[in-house]
Amino acid sequence: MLYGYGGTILRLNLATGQITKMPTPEDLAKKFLGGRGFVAKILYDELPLGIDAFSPGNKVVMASGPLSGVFLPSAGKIEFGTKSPATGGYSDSNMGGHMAPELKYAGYDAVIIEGRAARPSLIVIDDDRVEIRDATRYWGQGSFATEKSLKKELGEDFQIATIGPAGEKLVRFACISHDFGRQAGRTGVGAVLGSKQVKAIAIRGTKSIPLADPAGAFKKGKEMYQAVFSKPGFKEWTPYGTAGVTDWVNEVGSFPTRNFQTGFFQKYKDIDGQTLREKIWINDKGCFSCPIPCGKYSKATVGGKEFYVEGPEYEAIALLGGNLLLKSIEEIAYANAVCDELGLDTISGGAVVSFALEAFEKGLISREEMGRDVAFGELDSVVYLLEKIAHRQGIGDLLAEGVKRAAEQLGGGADHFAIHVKGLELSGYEPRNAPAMLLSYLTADVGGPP
Amino acid sequence: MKLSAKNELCSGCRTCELVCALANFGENNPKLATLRVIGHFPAPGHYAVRVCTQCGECARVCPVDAIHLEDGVYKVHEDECIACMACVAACPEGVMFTHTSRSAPFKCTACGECIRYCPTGTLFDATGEIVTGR
Repeated sequence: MLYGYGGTILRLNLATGQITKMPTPEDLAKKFLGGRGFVAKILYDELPLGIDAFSPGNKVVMASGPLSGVFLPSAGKIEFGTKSPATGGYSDSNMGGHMAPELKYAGYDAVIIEGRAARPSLIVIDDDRVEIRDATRYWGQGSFATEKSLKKELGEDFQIATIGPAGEKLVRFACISHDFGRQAGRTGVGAVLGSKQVKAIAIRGTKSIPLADPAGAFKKGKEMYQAVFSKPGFKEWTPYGTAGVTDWVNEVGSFPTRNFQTGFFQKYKDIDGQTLREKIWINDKGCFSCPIPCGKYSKATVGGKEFYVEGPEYEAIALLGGNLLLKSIEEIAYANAVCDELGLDTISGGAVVSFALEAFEKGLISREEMGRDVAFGELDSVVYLLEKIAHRQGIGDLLAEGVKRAAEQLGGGADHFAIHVKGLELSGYEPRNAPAMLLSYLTADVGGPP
Repeated sequence: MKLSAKNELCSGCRTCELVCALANFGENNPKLATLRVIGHFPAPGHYAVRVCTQCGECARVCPVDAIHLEDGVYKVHEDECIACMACVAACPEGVMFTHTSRSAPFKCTACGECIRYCPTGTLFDATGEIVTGR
């Protein structure tokens, strides 16, 4: 008996419609634990060498961990792994929210998605009942518009992951979205789901997770919650979330600014965690069983338009803020909301737009190719480019390939300001003053990591 | 003990649901909890926790008087319950629950564990007897 696990691995072949279940091997659990371990092991065993990320032979594996869904603080993340369309190598990306626990309550530790569906599809996992349904009516819709519609259709108690138009159009940095603001953002996992015509995955689970010693686990969980409550960081971290590091990163000169040309943004106090909290924050939004919680939910108005967005998180503040020279937290929040609905990773999305703006300044992209004038610091330019990219229209088709491939196409020295590692755009730390992050950039299997 | 919620503080982490099911049934399963966190997203962007107010409507509609008032708390006596589900339909807060693993509906027992481990202070005891562990 495997305690702490759902106990089953689910395999879906989208081409044949075949759905198979196998008991989670005890050996796999012992050696690879779950989450990233399961994802890496399954892909290593099953993916043919040299396969293209968008070919039907690629697979997407999603996995929960042995502590997901158990009464312990902050064990709520789910892992998605695949061969990356951004790097051409192994990749994984995780997200918080409520997917991992729900998968376990439905009785599964991992889901292996294979093949390519003949039409847009929705995967529904409702305890033992698993179905691949038609999702044609949702194709083309935004990430959260789809989630909202599916909650209405299936029930509020379903946990839902979706892709946006960018995933459908195979933008190499498209993300998977969930819970109106959580993303598996990196390495293009959303584009691989799009290549398989999977618009959404909906999960509902009602089972208990078997524990070897429920009373002992309850006691241990209480101790760990108490330990969290007693730490000074619990009170200091909570109000600002990840946005709270904006000041510190600027003060050490590591804040990506103007396509990584510098590591300091003059107006960083206008876009930091404190400003977020004072100006646009409306609610804290935590992931499952997380007492901290770092998630912030915001409401803002830009150009007379009122909108909601989770965050912005630090990475979005860095890549959509400093790196694009957007000057207010409201403008960053708006660009973030646009990325979310389109299904674009805010990190690579921001980095690709900043690359395009620099290429335009340097004359490597003409006004005619761009379709209009664009400039750093202009929200209008940023939104224009994000939409072009997500729909692969005009110059967006080239930019949807990511900075590495786009620079190769453009030539003229564009590779000198295409900021990436292994084809994955860097995250929110200009590494010359962040040596530990530099080491991570140099060595991470997924490329420029989160 | 009078369980109450300051919804504006809730972050939706559902720790209360986990704690409730463990305290009442010894099971790690939020679907066995006797309260629910409901999200209202994308707009207006907040959570609400549905909790039992011990109003007694469940006992009032029970045709076999299987729900008894004991020290201010309404308790379901499973051996007397005929599983007619009248109480589930009648509960004004939607917190009389059922689950395939249980023969009778179940509800809040006012144990107070959710209050002790709610990380945001959303859940509180209006009488002040049970206090947060934060």
